[in-house]
Amino acid sequence: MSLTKGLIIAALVVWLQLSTLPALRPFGVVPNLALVAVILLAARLPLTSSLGLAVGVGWLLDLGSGSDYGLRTTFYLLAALAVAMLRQFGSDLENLSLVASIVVTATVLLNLAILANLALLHVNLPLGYIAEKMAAEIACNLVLLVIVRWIFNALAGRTTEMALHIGGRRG
Amino acid sequence: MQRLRSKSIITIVGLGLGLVILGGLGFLRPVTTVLDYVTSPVRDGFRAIGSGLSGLTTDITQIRHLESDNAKLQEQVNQLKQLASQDAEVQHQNDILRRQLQIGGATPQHLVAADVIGYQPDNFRQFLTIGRGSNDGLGVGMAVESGGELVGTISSVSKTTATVFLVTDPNFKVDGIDQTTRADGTIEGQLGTGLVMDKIAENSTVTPGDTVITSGLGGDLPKGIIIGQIQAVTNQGENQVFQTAQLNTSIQVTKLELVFVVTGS
Repeated sequence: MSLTKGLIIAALVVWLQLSTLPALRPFGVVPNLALVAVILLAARLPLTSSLGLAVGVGWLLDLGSGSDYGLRTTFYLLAALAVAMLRQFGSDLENLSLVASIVVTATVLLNLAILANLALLHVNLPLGYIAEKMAAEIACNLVLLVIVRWIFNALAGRTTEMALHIGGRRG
Repeated sequence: MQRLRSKSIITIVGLGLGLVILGGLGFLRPVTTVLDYVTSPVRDGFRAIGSGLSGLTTDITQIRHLESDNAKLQEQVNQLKQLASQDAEVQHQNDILRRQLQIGGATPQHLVAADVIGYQPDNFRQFLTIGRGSNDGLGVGMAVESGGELVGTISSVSKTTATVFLVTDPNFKVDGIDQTTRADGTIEGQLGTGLVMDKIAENSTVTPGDTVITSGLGGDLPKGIIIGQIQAVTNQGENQVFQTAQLNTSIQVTKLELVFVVTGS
């Protein structure tokens, strides 16, 4: 996938995350499309591009959100770095179950970071409610993962087809 | 090549952390203003798509409840008509007494209507972005209401947009009073359970069904904005110093399209 496509996808993801998904709220939760996209982009793009996009997406979400400024920029950057490290160690990031486990872990960690901030503000944290919301968000994120991965594959497939077509004509 | 790549990675990580630190210190406000200005129309469009889809699915699932809901609403309309008639009479008497005692009349609130253009992008916290800012006279701490009920307060403002800290956020706190018994307490947002009125004195009376309004004490919130209705009262044991009441608010965050900011009275 090219950086230009990555940038367009990132911009679309930010707007969907700030406007459409919170209004839609499937099962009463806001799915984290941005996190799913950052992980998938980090698995496909060159390291510098994926880190740049992670910073861009995180920062725009930080600007659009009312709380925890800096949390998303830092977290998405760390998530992209972690995926890049897995790539470096030769992990097969085309394997859906591996990417799914990264998404689940990242969702739990990001929510724990938000809850830790709330705990510092001495807010009462009902565990049952938190577990229910987190489970619903994980389920939604996994559904999004399958959809977004399919879209990315379709986009990558079309690019390859076009490259082959152009190559064939030149030949 | 390897060194160049390491340099790029360090630059991006540094850039990310720099953005976090500079933004945290408030140095990126001009950038935020420009971004808000450029993106707010598009965000409004995306929000409308989400609300439309959400409304459609809700409509489909709610059709079978329409008849009973309609009957309940009709009953409420009748009760409210009666209350409105009584209120008009009380208002008239109040005006006469104020004139006789030479007390100034209640000043009307100045409201600025604002479209909801964005939401908090994750769970657990509750914020909204509205399409009005300091150019329209909005400031931090001002009350935001919808249908006469408190939605929240403005937590940050740029020239063209403002962020609203919702009453249902677990870190929200405001002083409120029971409109019927005048019992006062602190209203706090709660994760998952809506609103709670805490620190109600043990000897005060609060009854389920009573309306709770802002007390006007502290901050910029004017007195008299409805916060919600008391649903249940707890902690009424002999050794309890304070009572706690669960509140119901009719504010549905995802259904809000237009809100009103109280800019002064």
